[in-house]
Amino acid sequence: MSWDKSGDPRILRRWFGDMEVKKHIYTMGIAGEIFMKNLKDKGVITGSRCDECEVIFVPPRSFCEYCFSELTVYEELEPKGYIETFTIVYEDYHGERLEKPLIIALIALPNAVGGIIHYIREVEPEDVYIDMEVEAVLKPRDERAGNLSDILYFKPT
Amino acid sequence: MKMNINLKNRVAIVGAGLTLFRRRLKETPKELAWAAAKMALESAGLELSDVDAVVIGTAPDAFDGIHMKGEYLADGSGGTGKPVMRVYVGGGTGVFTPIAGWWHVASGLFDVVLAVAEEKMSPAMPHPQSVFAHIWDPIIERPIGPNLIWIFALEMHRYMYKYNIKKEDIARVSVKNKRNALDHPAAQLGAKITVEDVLNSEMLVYPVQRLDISPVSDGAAAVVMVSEHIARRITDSPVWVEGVGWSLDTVHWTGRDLAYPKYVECAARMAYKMAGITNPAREIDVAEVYDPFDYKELHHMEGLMLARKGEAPILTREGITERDGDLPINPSGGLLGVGNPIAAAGMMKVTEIYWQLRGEAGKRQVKKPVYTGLAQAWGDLMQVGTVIVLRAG
Ligand SMILES: [Zn+2]
Repeated sequence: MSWDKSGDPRILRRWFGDMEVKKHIYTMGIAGEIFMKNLKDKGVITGSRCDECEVIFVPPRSFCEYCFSELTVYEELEPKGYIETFTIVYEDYHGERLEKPLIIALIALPNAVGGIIHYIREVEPEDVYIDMEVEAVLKPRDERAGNLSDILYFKPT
Repeated sequence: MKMNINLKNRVAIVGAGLTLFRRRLKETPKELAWAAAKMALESAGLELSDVDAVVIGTAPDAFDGIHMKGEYLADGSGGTGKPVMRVYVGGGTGVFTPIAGWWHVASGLFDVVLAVAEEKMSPAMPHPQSVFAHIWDPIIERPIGPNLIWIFALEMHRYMYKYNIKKEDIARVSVKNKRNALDHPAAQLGAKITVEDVLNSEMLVYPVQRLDISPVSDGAAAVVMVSEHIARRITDSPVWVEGVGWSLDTVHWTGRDLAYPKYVECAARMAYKMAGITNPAREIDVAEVYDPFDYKELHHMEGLMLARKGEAPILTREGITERDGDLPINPSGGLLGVGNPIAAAGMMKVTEIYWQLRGEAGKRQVKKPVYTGLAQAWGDLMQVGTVIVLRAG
């Protein structure tokens, strides 16, 4: 069996290949377009409400996964919330030590299901804590493009 | 005689839903899945809370561009907090999805199952064909740069050669299906074209021309499958799943009989045996057979034993496969006319037979009374056959 032999790629006959499609073009969808447009134009985070289940989804969804209702009521929320949980990244994909550790948090909005995953800055890693109140730092309005990087990061309020 | 198998539940389809099929839809894949699933549930008069389990069918992740697409689609398919499984047999997925739904119910595990199929092909760039560049053997086939159209062309040429079939007889399938699709509200490519239009269309890969091929599409479809006691309670006209079959031919496509789809015959024999069908050409009243290319409708009719080998073109020429013919084939308009969002396209065929057997196909309703219908799909490395036989209650 070949498994008793060397797996050293230098002594095996090799063939190089890939399995990649060149790129993908994604649509943002019904709810996604509203979220991005409001972020760009108004600097707000949008949620959608299911009255049946009494929940607000953030980011918004066009249907409720619990009761299957179509959701048409969108609510514009202030871009602030609290840290539901966070982590601190010390190494990159290649195992290289980062110059400055990166704080990544799940930011929950009051009374909403879901939240936003984003960077936390303007605070040292040792000072971050769960439940910390944070607010979004946005790009200036004329630089916003209607994508997630319109939010630069979140910082403590 | 019917197959002697010990099933816990007889299974019925009691609702169906379908989105528009289009080249590029604004909705996200899960929004498409939700639209079809919601429509199917509403048509059955059921709510999401009535659903016990969810089966999701969707083909390569690379189309939508999201790995683990089954999980991604689960909320839109009504799967939150429920037993969910994704099934995937390439192009055969759309018919395999209700087959999986069938065994969920037939086994006695569940009473109400939502089966949802979705495909969004438009994200893959530069063209969804580039996804198919990676289904071949990486060392002995890929260096030649094959894509699916080449391979279909090789198969089509062999089929034409073996049975001495003229291109114009194949073109009639495209003419019929695109015309049928004019009456389908979800259709992407309904059109009034002539045999000459097909023969004069751009030659892509000999003998495949532009109008021989189904389009690139986004879309979703869904059906609600329930056990007999639920079906009796909620509808007077359940559509029973009488037989299911699936089969895989050798993965070495170069070693197959390219002029005859044996894999479809194997799948059909399994489904016919279960349904107690001994003479399919006589007992099947209407069929939706997989037609991503016009010759495949003919090829698959023969594999399904609805026509003798090499004779499907004759039935087509004589008008027998038209909506007002003795054996209507693809009254929906098929993939050639309605569109080809892979898994959703196969499921669309199941929804069409469901509507035909209930007499709810509107302008597409076939002329003769129909009692037993069949939907079939095909895929993987062109060697899987999936077949479902449905009967009006
Ligand atoms: Zn709800």
